[in-house]
Amino acid sequence: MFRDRNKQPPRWLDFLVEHFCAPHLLEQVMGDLHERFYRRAERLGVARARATYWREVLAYMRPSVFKRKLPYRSKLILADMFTNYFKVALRNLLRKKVYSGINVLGLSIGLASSFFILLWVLDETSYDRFHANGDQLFQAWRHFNTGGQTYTLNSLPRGIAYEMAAEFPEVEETVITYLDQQLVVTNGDENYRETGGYVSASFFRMFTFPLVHGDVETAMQGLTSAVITERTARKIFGDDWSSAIGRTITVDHTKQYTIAGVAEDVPENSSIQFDILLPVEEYFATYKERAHWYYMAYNVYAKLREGTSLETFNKKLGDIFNRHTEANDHQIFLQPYEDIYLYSFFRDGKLIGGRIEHLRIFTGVAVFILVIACINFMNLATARSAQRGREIGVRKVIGAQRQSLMTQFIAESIGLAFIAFLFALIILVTLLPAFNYLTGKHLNFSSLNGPFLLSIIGIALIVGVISGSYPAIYLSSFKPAVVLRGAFRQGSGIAVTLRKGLVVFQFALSVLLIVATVVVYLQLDYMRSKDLGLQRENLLFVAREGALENRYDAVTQALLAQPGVAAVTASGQNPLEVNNNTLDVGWEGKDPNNTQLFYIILAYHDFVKTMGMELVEGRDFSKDYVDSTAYVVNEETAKMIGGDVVGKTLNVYGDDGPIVGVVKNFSMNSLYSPIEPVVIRLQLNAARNLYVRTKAGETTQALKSLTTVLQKFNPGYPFTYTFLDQQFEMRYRSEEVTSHLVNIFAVIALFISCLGLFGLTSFTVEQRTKELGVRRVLGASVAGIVILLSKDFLKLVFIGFFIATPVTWYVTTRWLENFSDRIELGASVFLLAGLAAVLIALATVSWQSIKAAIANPVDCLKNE
Amino acid sequence: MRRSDLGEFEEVVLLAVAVLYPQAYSVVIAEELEKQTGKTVSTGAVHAALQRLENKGMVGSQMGEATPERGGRRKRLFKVTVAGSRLLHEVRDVRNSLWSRIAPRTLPKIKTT
Repeated sequence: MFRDRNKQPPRWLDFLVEHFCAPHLLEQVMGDLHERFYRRAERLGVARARATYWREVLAYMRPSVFKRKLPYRSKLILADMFTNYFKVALRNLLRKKVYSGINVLGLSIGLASSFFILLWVLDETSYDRFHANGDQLFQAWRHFNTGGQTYTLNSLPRGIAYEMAAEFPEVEETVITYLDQQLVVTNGDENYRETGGYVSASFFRMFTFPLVHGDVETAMQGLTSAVITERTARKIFGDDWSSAIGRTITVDHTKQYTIAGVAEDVPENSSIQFDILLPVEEYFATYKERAHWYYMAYNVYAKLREGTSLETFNKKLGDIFNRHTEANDHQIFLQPYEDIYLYSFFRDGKLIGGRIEHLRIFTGVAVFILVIACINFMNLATARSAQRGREIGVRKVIGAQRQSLMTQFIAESIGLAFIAFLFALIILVTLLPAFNYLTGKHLNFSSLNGPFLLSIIGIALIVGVISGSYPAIYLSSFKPAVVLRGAFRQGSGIAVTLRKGLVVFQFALSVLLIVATVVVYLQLDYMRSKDLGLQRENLLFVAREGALENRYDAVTQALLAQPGVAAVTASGQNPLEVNNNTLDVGWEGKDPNNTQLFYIILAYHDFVKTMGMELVEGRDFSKDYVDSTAYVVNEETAKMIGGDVVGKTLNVYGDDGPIVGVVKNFSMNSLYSPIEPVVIRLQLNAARNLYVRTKAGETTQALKSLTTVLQKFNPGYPFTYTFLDQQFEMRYRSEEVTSHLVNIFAVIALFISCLGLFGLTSFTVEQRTKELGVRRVLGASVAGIVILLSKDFLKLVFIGFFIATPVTWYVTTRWLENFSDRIELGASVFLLAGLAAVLIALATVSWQSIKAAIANPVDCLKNE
Repeated sequence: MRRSDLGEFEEVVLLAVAVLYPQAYSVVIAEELEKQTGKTVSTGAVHAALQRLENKGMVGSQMGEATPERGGRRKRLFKVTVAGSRLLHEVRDVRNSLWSRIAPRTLPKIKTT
């Protein structure tokens, strides 16, 4: 009777009500609205009723009408449902062993990788964090401008510490350290070589290194007090180490000290390391010239009063060095001590990072791997939706809410994540020693402490929720009528697109990691094999101490007479780490505006020969010539002086001498930095180390010779030596470790991606068994079927590769910018990595597709 | 808010439920109130008041029959509960006692129609 549209209430308003009104109220509300409408229409006319209908509708727009009725759930049913969920989940897990295996394996490996990385990151960030007043501790640095360059160094003169404490009320106290020295400690007849050095009296007050015996206030107070670590005490005094206090030791066969304290062993996560500490005041009293403002050999630390603003303080501190000297090129500043371990790379006077870069890289890698593992889970879960579809349909028909279905699926994935978590823990515990070996750390079960365990449980939970969320949303959206009718088609629109997108993403990440690995490897290999300009193999050095100092000629003669020894020299600087530089180099015609810094090596006879450097011109220092002051320069310096430099007179530190030779440029300090001009000066007394070149292949013999000779001349000094090539390897160890780890994690990422691909392929194959059978019967070739099955996946891998390439190019180029001497990044690296990824993916896919292709079609077609 | 608190609008709706029993539902209550007060009363307002009254236990309800003008939808019929009845009586008692205590000629005179 009310068919006419215009005699009915406005449709859109009804629509609004239908949309907003809670379902359980809709019937009465809509009924009331309509009844009211028709009554008003009869009384006032349809037009009035329609015009004022909105007011009626508006009156229903209130929370009490919107609010949905909570579904009724009894506790009993809830418990039953959970039992059922659990049972169904378990059955699904067991029935589809391949998928469950892939999921659990992928997640376990992913989780284990991220746990390792977390462990490593936590350890790295724990460095220097154990000092009681940590936030008040700072280390002093200097920016040093010369030759248009800014160098940033933490080697400072003593005066900085003294003046800083005297001039600024903000400074509570300062500490000078001169550590990492090799000292010979003698107790009675026994000699020990210990690492340590000289520190201020306030050292133990400022830093928290607890003493087992002795008092932190007074331990370093006396001019002849020494503090040793418990480890050293046990070594020197044996079982009665605990009564070490008050006993006397001799250091370097010259000075006697009384033990005033025994410190706990220095924790590994401390930048300051020592076995023995001696008072620095006494050191300055002995070596007066080393207290000079230009003697920059010390580390200086300061404790600022609470609430001091570092920025303001650094502004005031800046010119302290310049004010006390004639220099104008130094700027002193403090950096928070706790940050230094992670942030200590400066370029052009700006902090550009440090080890924190490695932390960032690895955190990124961990996230990548987890994401890849999560994607596997999502893809397999949604791909298998056809199987679960029926279950979902039935549950919905019986009355399951979407919410409870989502809960079910997320709970399932969390459950799986925790199974994976347990496996990951097993992997973690089993591989911890290998990880320690690789990273050079000493992590043990005490590192697996509360915060760590909480974080990894958190990670597992997050992984479970994330990987479960998408399947939960997707699967729970199925319409029961559709899935139960059997018309449910696997691969409807969005789900498939998304799945493909995720595969692309996975492979993009894998390619990124692979290329990064290859680039890092190539660069490190390049650096290792680079011609350094000197032969670092078969070259070792020992400290010149005792007889080596005053009977140098006799010792060298004795050494050269021994088998296995090729050449001997003395040098004050390790040519691979020259840190001695000066502006004080002059020659006739030097540009007065030249502010170039020259690196100085103080060395003795046969230096060039022993180092295995290459002479371009002139000759080596030699005892066959009577040189008082003579210089050998590198090509860089020669270029700066210009012309035929051999025979010209050079003035270094005010001493004139002829240039006798030019050596080829050699790499110093770091492969990160460019070649600098070097001057090598003939000067024995400052050459602290004896360098010995052994004959190739006769290292053992040479070491025996060295031992015999040194024991004879230097009985009081335990024999230790360092090989230059080993030292070189050590220097790039952090890069090496990074390279190894990135390598491993890249392989893991690729492996997990392939696991996922494997799962998807086997699923597709299973879905299309009948189709493949029919194709085979109709004459499709094996190759044809393999191609049919593989091409879809390979397309995705290719797309992933093309997406990854620009990103990877950007990232690796950025990383390579850290090196002054770097490899060219060619297209071949990308192509090879891409090819590798594609081939591996192809192999993965083929495994299943070939199996399907060669199967007898009868087997799959015989039953319906 | 105490359970027994009763707004003015709720009170008249409650009374209307009592008046219109056994055919008390939003539409007729709204119309009854419109007739009594002369103002427009939307069914939405009545519905909300009824919801509140039901939450307070003043009225009970059950689904009634469907009619064609409702598009075949059922209506919800309300009736006053014992608690509602008690409350209505209390309110009336309070008012009566107050009225009875107003001294004569206290209230200004008004014209009654």
